[in-house]
Amino acid sequence: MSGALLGRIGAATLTLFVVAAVFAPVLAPYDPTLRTAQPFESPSLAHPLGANDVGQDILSELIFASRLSLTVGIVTACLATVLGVTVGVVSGYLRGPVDGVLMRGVDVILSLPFLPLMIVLTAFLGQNTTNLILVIGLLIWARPARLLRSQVLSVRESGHVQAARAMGATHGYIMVRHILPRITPLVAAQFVRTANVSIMLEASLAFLGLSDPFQKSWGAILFYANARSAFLADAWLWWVLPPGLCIAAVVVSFAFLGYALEERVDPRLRSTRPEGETLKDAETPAPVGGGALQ
Amino acid sequence: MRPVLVGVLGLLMLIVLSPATGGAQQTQEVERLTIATEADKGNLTPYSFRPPPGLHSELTNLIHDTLFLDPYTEEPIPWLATEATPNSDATTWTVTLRDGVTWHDGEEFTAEDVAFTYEYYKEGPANRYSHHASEVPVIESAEALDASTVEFTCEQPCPTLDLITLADLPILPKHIWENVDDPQTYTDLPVGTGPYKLVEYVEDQSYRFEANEDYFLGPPTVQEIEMPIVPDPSSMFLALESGQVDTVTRNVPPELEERLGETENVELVEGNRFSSIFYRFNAERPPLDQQEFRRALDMAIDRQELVDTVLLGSGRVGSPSFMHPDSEWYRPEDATFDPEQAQTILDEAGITDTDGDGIRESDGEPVSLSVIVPANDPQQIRTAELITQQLEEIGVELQVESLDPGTLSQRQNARDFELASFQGVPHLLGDPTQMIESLESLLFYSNPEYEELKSEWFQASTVEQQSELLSEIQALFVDDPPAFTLYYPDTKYAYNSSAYDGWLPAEGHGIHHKWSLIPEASEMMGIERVSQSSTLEENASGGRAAVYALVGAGVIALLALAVLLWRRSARKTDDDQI
Repeated sequence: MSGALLGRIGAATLTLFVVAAVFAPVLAPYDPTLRTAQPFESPSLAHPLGANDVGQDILSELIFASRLSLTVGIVTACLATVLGVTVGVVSGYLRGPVDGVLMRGVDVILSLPFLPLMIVLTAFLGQNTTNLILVIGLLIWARPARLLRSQVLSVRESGHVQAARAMGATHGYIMVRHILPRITPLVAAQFVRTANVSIMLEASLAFLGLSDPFQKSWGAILFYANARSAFLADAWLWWVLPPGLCIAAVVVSFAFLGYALEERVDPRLRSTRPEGETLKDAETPAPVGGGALQ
Repeated sequence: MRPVLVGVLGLLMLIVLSPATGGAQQTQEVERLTIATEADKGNLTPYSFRPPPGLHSELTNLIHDTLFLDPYTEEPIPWLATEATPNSDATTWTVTLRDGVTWHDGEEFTAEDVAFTYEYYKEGPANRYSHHASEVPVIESAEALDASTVEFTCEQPCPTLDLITLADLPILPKHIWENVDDPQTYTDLPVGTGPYKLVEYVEDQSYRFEANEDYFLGPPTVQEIEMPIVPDPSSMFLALESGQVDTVTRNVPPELEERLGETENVELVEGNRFSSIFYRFNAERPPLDQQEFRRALDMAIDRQELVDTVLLGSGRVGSPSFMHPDSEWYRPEDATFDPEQAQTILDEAGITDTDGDGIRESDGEPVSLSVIVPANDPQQIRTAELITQQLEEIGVELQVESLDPGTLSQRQNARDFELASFQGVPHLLGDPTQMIESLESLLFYSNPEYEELKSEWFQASTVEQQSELLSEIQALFVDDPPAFTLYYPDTKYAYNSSAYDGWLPAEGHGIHHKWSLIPEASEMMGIERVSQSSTLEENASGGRAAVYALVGAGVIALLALAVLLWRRSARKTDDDQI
């Protein structure tokens, strides 16, 4: 399958979720905070996915929950990418002591166990979405920074950068005009990756019951489903599977989108070659972008 | 034709007179039982107490014994003691002990051990039991008069000493504990006189108990108990369904009742455990410091809705009396649900919505409270969610913080909360001395009338007087509750009846405790084992079988008669024709 097609599938799925998130009040049949059915009601025409343990409509919960997951994913990814790019570029371009200090900082953050630390931090700071975004964002920028730095190290030695330096261009100018454009595919890939990680982290935290318990999120739906024994009953079919599929669908479509973006920016990945080779190319990790996805 | 008739009648008699199936069952002897428990409770000494979830005293008492059977029995039932006699004003008690009891390590149990234990609880570091020797009641001294007699002297009358105190505090072996410097950090496996020895404890994983063959009431019914610690409810009940464990100590959530009831070999029984969910409040924080405000909050809570929605109806609404409705000490009082009255009270107290945003203001500040709830208990979280909506109706905002158990107890100990969701344990809901103690140490109750009643309570020299006073104290709670009791959930327990069915639903405790495993206990406590009650059912079905047999026999007899008559008449016609 070509990257462009994957990208289109990804974009379409994501658009679907974004539309669901934006128009949630219109699309959802009920207000998910109100008790509109009997607790543990099985699916019916009125409640296609049944009701949860206090009688809230699960379909409406799912639709409203897409708001939180997408917000957390995108905002956190922006935050983490900005941080990661800044640190990566500055560190890789300037090298020397600045590089040393920044990379040791990255080492520290990379060695932290994310989930336990998040549990402690959210307990300490309080459980609202802003805190959650800040905490995840501040934890996951390190990996992109490290990856981008290694790319910057090679870019800074390339001819046009050296030429610019020889002509007396300032560091800032070179970083913005010459380095940044060259690493954009990597940045795109990292953006997508951090979005994925943060959606998963948010879901894990909510699944453990440690995020705001009344914030509708897919993880929280799973938390209640697990805690009220849905896994033991038939209810897993309408209470566990749908939020699980939603999380999977968003994560996969982000990944597809990332792949397509990468291919578009990096000419070496573009499918202008004969059909057979494209397939082979698409599956072998490319030296720049593919490595970053792992 | 006669022989045929006789034959039919004989058959009929045989069917009717054949005995119905089933009969009285003896307590089973079982090699090994696997019981999944929901929480690690340390090395099960009296000092390793940890708050719920999970059983504590029930596990500790597998290893240890008390002088009397249990604090929640109607009358004191002797256990390690044979008798306790008070003096005229119940300040001095002479307690006679059983002879021939030995500790797990073979040492003899004597009055010295008892005297030592009480002094140790009184003087040593505080534990879950110590305030029952040092505060309610204040035991001045416990002295061994001879090898099997102990004299207890209380500072004030202590009429419930045999009924409650001596039935609650586990006895420790002097020869071991006198060498323990810091009991809080003591990690050895405990030695007791109880029916089981703890032979293995792996932190956060499992306990293993072995029967004490020399137990003074004879060897217990189960040889070995394996107790894996399974915090996740789904895995726990799945293990029960698949037969990996024989019973689970967590009570069956209402949504699983039907499913478990239909599972082969799995039976459900109501365990009568004392349990409740209540909200503590911090009366130091305005506006919770105003009694009218608290009263209004209490009135705005629709407890029936909580029971119907969160417990799916399997429970009883909370009572201002605080204690458990099945406890001997409970005074029946009903909580008032009247949101309109609550609004009026708030209006009169000057807590009104001045800026029209739907939330009332007190001293210019919007009334926004927060409640802390355990993140691992979805029922408590859902309860908080419903209460948030209920309080919204009277213009009070409630924010819910769900915290991991560690942070939760930290915040509670530091009194860093406004409202805190709390699970009531048997000790708190069934023991009047603990109630008096908790009013101060846990609930920080202050009410001038209560202070008076309390000092009277301490002077009372009979159980009846104390009971009367406790009743008066509970009457005060109607207008000025020490906490908001929301509901008392039913406590059904599930067990695999093919593995063991000697379970004993003991008032206050559920079914997982030593008495379920001691043959004599059923008679001593006057409670039937679940096997006996199911025998009753079998007898009933046996009775039904007899009815069927009778009807069947009747039908056969009628048929036989019809055939007989038909043949006769046939023969007659034959004769006629000839």
